[in-house]
Amino acid sequence: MNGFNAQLYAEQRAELLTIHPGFAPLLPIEPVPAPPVTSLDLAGARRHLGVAANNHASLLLIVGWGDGSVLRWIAEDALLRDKQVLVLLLAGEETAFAAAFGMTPGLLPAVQRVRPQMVVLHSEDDIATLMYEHFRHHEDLPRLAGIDIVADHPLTLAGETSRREWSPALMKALSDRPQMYGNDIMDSFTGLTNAAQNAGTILAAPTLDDCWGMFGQTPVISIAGGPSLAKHIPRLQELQHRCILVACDSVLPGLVAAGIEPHFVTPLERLPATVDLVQSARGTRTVFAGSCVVPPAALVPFEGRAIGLFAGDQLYNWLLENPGHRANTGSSTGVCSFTVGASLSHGPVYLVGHDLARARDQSHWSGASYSSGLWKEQKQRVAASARVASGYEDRMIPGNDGGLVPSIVWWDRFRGEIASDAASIRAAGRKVYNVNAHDRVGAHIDHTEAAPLPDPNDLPKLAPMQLPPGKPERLANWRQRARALPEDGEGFRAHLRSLRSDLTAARALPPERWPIEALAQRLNVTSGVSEGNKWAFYYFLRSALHNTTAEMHLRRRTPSTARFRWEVLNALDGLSDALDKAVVTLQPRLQEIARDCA
Amino acid sequence: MTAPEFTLVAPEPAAALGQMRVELYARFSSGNVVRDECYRLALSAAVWRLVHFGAEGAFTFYTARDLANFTLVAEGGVVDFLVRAGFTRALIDDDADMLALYERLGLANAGRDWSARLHECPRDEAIATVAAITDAEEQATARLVLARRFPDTIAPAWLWAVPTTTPTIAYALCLLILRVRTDLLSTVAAYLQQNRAVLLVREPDELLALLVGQASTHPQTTLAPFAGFYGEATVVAAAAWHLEHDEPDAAHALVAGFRPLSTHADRAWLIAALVALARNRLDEVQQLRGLIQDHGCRAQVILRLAEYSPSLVNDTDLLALLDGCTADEPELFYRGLLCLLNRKQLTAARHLAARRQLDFQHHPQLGPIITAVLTGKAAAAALH
Repeated sequence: MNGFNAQLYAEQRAELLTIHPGFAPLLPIEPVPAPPVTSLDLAGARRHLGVAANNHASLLLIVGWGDGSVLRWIAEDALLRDKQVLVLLLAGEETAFAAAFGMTPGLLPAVQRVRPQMVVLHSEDDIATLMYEHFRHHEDLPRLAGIDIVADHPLTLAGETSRREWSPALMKALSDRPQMYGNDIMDSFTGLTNAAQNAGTILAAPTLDDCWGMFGQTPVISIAGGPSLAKHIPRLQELQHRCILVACDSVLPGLVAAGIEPHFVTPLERLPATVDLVQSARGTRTVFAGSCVVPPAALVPFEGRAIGLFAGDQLYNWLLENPGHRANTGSSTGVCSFTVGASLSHGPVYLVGHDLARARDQSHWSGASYSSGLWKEQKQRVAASARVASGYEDRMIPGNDGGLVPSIVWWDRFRGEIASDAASIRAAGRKVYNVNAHDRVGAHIDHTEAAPLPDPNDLPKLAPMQLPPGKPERLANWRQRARALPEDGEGFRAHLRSLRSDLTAARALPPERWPIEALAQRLNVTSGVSEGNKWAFYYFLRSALHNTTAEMHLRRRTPSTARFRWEVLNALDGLSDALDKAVVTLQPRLQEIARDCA
Repeated sequence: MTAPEFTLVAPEPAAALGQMRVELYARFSSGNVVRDECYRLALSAAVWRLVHFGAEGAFTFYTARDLANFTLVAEGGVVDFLVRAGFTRALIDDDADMLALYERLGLANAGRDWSARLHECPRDEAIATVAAITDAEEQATARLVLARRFPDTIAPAWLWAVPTTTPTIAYALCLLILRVRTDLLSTVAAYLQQNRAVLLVREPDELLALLVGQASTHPQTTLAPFAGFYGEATVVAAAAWHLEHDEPDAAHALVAGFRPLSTHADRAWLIAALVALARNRLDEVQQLRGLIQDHGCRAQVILRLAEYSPSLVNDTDLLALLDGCTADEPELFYRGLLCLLNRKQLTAARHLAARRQLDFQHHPQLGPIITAVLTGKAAAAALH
């Protein structure tokens, strides 16, 4: 290779493997010749890195390795090298990656100085892994608000091809992530108070963990409200005593009207409409297996038939600290019907009605009239008011017919959530069948296989369902803790007052003495709160916390060090003020909960 | 739980609001979809906080465009409040684009009527109108509008009269004073020392670089109270001050080893090149010339080299520079043309003048010279 120095390579390779042992397959002892890559000169560096080099945002994503010169420029710049740098090494760049360490003496020191997170993308499928590993938790996501993305610097031809093909999927995956931390502060307020009112039913019921795999190898059918569901109603009528049927709430009225009683239904929303949708559960065998944040009236029709579903939010930790197995509720009742269904059995899971795409003249099955009405209303609102990204914007996505099918942003997100869980179910040796893939309709869902619904004649009839007994002591324990909520609210407010006083004092200091890190450490949402209720406060204040953190990352996009640090102080103060007001607003509800627990 | 101020605002016309959303939506994208989504969520979250807890100090962070963009994620009475706030912020920030949008669509009518009167009425009436305003925030905004029209009316006390809750008004007033009332520099400096929230509500360098550049005092003296607050733009402005005041060593000390990826690197290197030229270090000048990418800065270096010694810049480079001059760079064009004439490149000068005639013929000083070159009176032009 032209300009390749074997000794330099050997030295840099050995050092690099001590930092990134996982790169051994990319750094062979004898590297093969690499295709030439244009190196970034000063003009190129300013063109590609100029924006990032002139703001204080914390995250820099480099899509493609090139010849490593991007990293060298980052290492030489005082502002850039302080950022979190994530470098994606794309398929087709492997040989250039290895060769760079035999051609550029300063490359290893650059890697050591910048300490980038390096991720190898072998295929487009690896984007999901990237999201899971680097942008998984609520705490990881706010920094995306300030992100700079460098995605047009020179790469090898093969690397360019990978980047061109994968960039849309990468950008979509990244831009869908921040939705996870939510932005409606009332969501968590309502969630907390609804959960407290529902605790009597939910905590007295068996948990999902108690019911984990209770149906053995019995097939589970997860039922969503896409237009394709109409075709499967007769078969579902036959299968309802031979498979476990788990339905999303929007199809429950239609299913019951068609003579189908799902075993479980999975309401998820705090909306009043949830109460209407589940009225048809009255007098049926259907068990509530949804989130405890639904309006309390939504549990009434089930007459005590419920299982306690515990998901990832801190709210669930507050109700029951160690609930065992948890379920990923996802962002929709349809996704939840899949994850709950998959938890109850060790057998195959069938997806029915998970179209996640519009049919020619229909958005939903006729039995899911609430969802179709909502869809029409939202589409009209989007068209009339040009609201930005309500989630109902059109999006073309891969279809089961091999082409693209018309969908919307929300449905595409649901598709990703199902695919993510399907991947882990499949990894455990189980099957997830998408009946739509067999019929070649609706959206393609990764990690699922095409199959029709099972033949009822092949399956034995199930015995009447009997849930395991609940554990009443769970409710008693929670009630004892919840009684301290009002007192904890005042304790937290006292902490905020002290913090704001210190923030005021800090602002009078010279900029280099602003203790922003120390003050930020103190702004946790559980200070002054008793141990038993820490998760409750964390949960209902988390939306405010994450949104403010995201906004702080937006504000870091200033060239001024002093200004960005000042803005952090302002944001801390603003958040302290907002949190105080939030607790004041919530206090009457907390007192009510405490009274009910007395 | 709606905050009371929302109910006090007259509703905006629905059709105009719809059109505003359509137009803002069309230009919403920044080219970074991830940041766009986070920005949308941040706006949406801020609206939730506003609706449930009332306005907060953090709203000063938002620009006029941000406040307009809120209408894309908000509904109901809060939108009317945001439109009014957005218009006021556009007035404060002097955002002509956003002001034109409000005017064209007939939004924020109450605010526009008020500001339009101030923009059009005679001076004495404008002064009296502003003096009669009783609300401190409204009066501060009105003073800003008045000051833009009649800078001589600015009184030092105006700065201290701006409510502390509206640092964006005080920032805009400081910026205006630094641009048009250099006699009040010390007032601004004293005010900014006492009001960090104003200095930092927008880019502090924009104020401090102007302050340093306009001040008669030594940059070290000017900047002493602002240690830790200023950045690269102010450092370059201080270096330029030293250069202008014949202190090349001090200028060089500030720009030596400047960060190459800084947006201010070209100006820093220009200063370094001029210092090197003054020290007769021609190799260093040529090296810096190779680094500079900004057209104006690069042209300055090439012209200074050409003026220093014709042999340092060949005719081709000089002509390329002159062809690259934009219509708003008459001074550069003039200096380059003069170099060409001094080299007796009369034919090349005539051709150049013919090519660029349309851009510069109406310039009061440059127009006659171009005519002279074109009519063959080049020698006279050179002596002009």
